[in-house]
Amino acid sequence: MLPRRVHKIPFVMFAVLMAGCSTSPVDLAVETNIPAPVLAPLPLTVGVHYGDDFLQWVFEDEAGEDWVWRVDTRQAHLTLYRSLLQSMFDRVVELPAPFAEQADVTAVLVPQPVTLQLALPELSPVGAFEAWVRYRIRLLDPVGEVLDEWEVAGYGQQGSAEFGGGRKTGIAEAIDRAHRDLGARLIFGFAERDEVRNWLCGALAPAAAESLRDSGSALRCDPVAAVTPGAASAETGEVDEDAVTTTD
Amino acid sequence: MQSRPLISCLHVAPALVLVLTACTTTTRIDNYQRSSMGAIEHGEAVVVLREPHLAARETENDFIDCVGKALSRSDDALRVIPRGEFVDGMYPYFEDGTAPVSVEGVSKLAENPVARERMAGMNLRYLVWIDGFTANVDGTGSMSCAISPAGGGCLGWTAWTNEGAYTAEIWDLKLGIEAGSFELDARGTSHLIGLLVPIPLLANVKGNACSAVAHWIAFSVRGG
Repeated sequence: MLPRRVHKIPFVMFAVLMAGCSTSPVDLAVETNIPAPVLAPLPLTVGVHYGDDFLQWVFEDEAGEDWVWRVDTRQAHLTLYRSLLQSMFDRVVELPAPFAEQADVTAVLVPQPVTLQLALPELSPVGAFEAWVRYRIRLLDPVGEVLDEWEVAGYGQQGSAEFGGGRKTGIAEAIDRAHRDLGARLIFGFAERDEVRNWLCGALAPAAAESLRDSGSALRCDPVAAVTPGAASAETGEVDEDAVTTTD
Repeated sequence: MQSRPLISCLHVAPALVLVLTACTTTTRIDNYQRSSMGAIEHGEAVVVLREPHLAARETENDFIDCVGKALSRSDDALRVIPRGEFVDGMYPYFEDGTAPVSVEGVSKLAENPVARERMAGMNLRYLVWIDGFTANVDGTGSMSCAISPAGGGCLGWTAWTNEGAYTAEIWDLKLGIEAGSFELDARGTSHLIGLLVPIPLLANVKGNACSAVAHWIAFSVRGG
């Protein structure tokens, strides 16, 4: 009778072979170098809640047949949102929950990562490293009722021929550019959301809302569109006509 | 009897001439247009940016940086703002998804006092958009390399052709006009000859295109 160890040999060999055939993930921690936006901050205090799904988000993606990427963007997107929001508002309060029990905030923003897609040059139609990032943004009132919800996406591309780094460097660079693009779109898209604009304009003092026109802020408060906070129903989005104020 | 060398100078010289001429690059300027562009004045700056393309092949940043540096070297009096410094300093207004698509867009941006103040600090006169890229378009030949306990080496010949096509559009921000544009094509064939050791004879298509683009931008902004 063969010793027990000998019986195990085929299983060990099989396991080694299977491990050799399987796809081992490529770990990549991404950082961001987003510059400080050139903006006049809104004279408002907003809250921001970074939930567990944001703080713990590590993405896995099959960018090629033999590659599985495990991309850690936690530090990058935290830096990104902190930089963006601090340039957009006078004061930003980070909240432990998606509502503000004590902090005096106008609204609470909750960013949530949705997806990250990657393409390597050999699979990309443009022959470059490509990255797409997508986040869902929720705007809540101070008690946590949803005022608006939308998605914002960013795209980044890194030419494969222009640098000597490996795949990790190429993908990291493409993700950084995608974050940068997302930041720009968030700043401009934010001010174009009717619900967001109405809520924030309503929270501003009339003189402050009027002065936005010449301040360099991304937000414009249309005199007929401003609505007092609380006037819009969180569920229906309907507006109480009595609560409509003009900022003239 | 005196033995003749296997490879004489008579053999080498034509081969050398052939390969040296074969790897030259040709550049061609085309469709040069210039409107009433004023000459750049002392202290005014130029910035060279890549034209934004979303989900299409973008101009390489290293090419744009090369043009900026070549432009700066071409004339000490010409103040060139590095691309990275400009787009970072103007974030988020000159990103791929947000950059102005016309010179009127820059004028509109100047209505924003924060952006206007930042741009005024740069004293930017000309904004140059570059579009295009260099790609490998053709290849031929073959080379094999081997290694053994007795030694190793390569034998054969391979060649490939690179082609670059670029366009430049120049905006005069002081006059608020599209002041000029041109197209540039560059082409060159590189060779790799295996004579025990691989000998590369490279055609610098991208580098030559970079120098030529910079030359024509300098010519345009200096007033011809």
